[in-house]
Amino acid sequence: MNLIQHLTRRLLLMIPMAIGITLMLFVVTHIVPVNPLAVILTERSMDDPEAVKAATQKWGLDKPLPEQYLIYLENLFHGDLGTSFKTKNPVTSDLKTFLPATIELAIGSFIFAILFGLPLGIISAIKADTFVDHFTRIFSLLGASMPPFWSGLLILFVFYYKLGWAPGTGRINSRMGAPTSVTGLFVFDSLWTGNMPAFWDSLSHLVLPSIVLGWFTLALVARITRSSMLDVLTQDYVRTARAKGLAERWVILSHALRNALIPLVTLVGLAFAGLMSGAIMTETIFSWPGIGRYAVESAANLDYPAITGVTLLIAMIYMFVNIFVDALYSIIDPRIREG
Amino acid sequence: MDIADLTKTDLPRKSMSVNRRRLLALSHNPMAMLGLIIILAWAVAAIIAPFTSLRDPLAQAITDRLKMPSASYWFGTDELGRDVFSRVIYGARISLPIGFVVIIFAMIMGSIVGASAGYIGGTYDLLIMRLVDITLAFPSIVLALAIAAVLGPSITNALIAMVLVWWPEYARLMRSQVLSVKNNEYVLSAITLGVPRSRILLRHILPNTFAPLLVKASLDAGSAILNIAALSFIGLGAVPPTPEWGAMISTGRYQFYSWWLTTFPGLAILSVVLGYNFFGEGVRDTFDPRRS
Repeated sequence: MNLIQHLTRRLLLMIPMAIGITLMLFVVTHIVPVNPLAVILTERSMDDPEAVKAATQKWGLDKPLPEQYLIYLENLFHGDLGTSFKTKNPVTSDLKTFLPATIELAIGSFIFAILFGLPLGIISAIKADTFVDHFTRIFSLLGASMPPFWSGLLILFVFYYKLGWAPGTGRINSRMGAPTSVTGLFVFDSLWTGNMPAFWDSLSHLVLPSIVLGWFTLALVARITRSSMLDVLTQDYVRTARAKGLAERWVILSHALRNALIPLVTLVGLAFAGLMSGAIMTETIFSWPGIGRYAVESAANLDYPAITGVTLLIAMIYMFVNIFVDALYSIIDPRIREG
Repeated sequence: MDIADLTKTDLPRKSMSVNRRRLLALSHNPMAMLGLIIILAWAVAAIIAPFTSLRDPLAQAITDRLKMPSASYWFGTDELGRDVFSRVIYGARISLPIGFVVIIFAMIMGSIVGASAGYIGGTYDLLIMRLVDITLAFPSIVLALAIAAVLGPSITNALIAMVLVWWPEYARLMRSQVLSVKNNEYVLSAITLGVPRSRILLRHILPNTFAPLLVKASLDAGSAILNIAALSFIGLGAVPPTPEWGAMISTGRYQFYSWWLTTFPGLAILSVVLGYNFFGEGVRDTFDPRRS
């Protein structure tokens, strides 16, 4: 099967999956008879039959559940995820506002994870079963065992309050204001428009949350790099390279590493799930206006349209990432396509 | 060398069972044992807490609000003058069993569903596996967040939410195990001998599928505790004044400069999760034949 056919098949399979996902979300958010009116209306207007009637009609709450689901699906096809009970904005526009912040944070933490995880993994593979290797393993386990909502507070306390090296919460100094929007990624936009003060400010705001969020991914990167390097280092072509007298550094960087990186591609999908889960906590601690914090706030407020919207978006991105990773993998390693 | 000596040393009269050999290897794994000691220490602390002279974790002493850690208050006091040390110790009575219960329930539910799907096959298998696929299409905490929000904030509901998002992973693993064991010769011969299907599943298939599930369970226990703490932190798990670690961090963060309110519960979570992860890694090292 060639790549195009493979991709088409995967994309077509997404349709029933997507319908399944919406159905599950709908069931989840409607299975418990909580009265959503209590969230929309103030306590006083709950006693006012006119207000109750108007709200019920506006949100379609008086229809039977299957019909509500069909209405929901139909609206979805038109890109309408409903109106948030809390912000009173269309959920779609809320998500558009908040998504870039999360993407920026995810990119920042991914860069951090690769920058430190890759060397750590390589070193512990070369020095397998030595002190360095054990230290790296414990360091990675520490990253995976730390609650991000706690490490976030800790790191803020030390680097913002005690040392004053880093700015506090948020994406940018509030007096400075957001840079002219091109992509919604502050660091990129400010650089693009040549707004250097905004560039440095937003970049410095990005550092701490990226470290907190990226530590978990770092652990994954280090571990996978280590085991795949160990596999590769025993291969014949590495032995050949050594036998012909190449410098060890050259053997490792050029012969071994290039092939050891292939399994790292699959990690992107795995890491993404970790990033999304971590983003929920990290964004809450750092007052980062992304979809993670939006999810937490809408969950805390029983804001059904917002919960379903944000969960749907995350699941869809997750699915696309996995398909993308599969495709990338089969481009890099043709054996998989043929198999 | 005498032939008698050879038979004595090289051929053990009775070979140890696979599981006993694995347990022996596990007890010699320093990482696993360190993890086990950490968990057991917390378990002992949690059990004996009410019988010691620890202060009541709910008792308020308004005159002693937000005191720094000292000789009389080892971990300081919180915004209501409650003893943080005794709250952290009592917190183990919630977090420790909950991580365990989530994993056990997810494993039981996943095993039953996965084993039946793999064994029965056909449309049933197809439907179950699509349900599994759909659930796994969500990052687990995101779906748990939605479910916990709908059920309402309580520790039991957080637990239910976690089990509901976690069982599919076990179902998928169990199904693949059953599928691979199902066609082994000893199962086929049992079928030929006319052994009833339920007996084949219970006596011949299931006992040979559990090792990978146990490995996964021991690796997952730490994440379960982390996620429960996270739900409590958001306000969808334990509700105040329950001394739960995630909830303590959540209220403590508003007293940002009183660092002891968040530091100690956080260290408690970290140590327990680290303990479980050490143990899980050790279990994987000994049980996973590919890694030894």
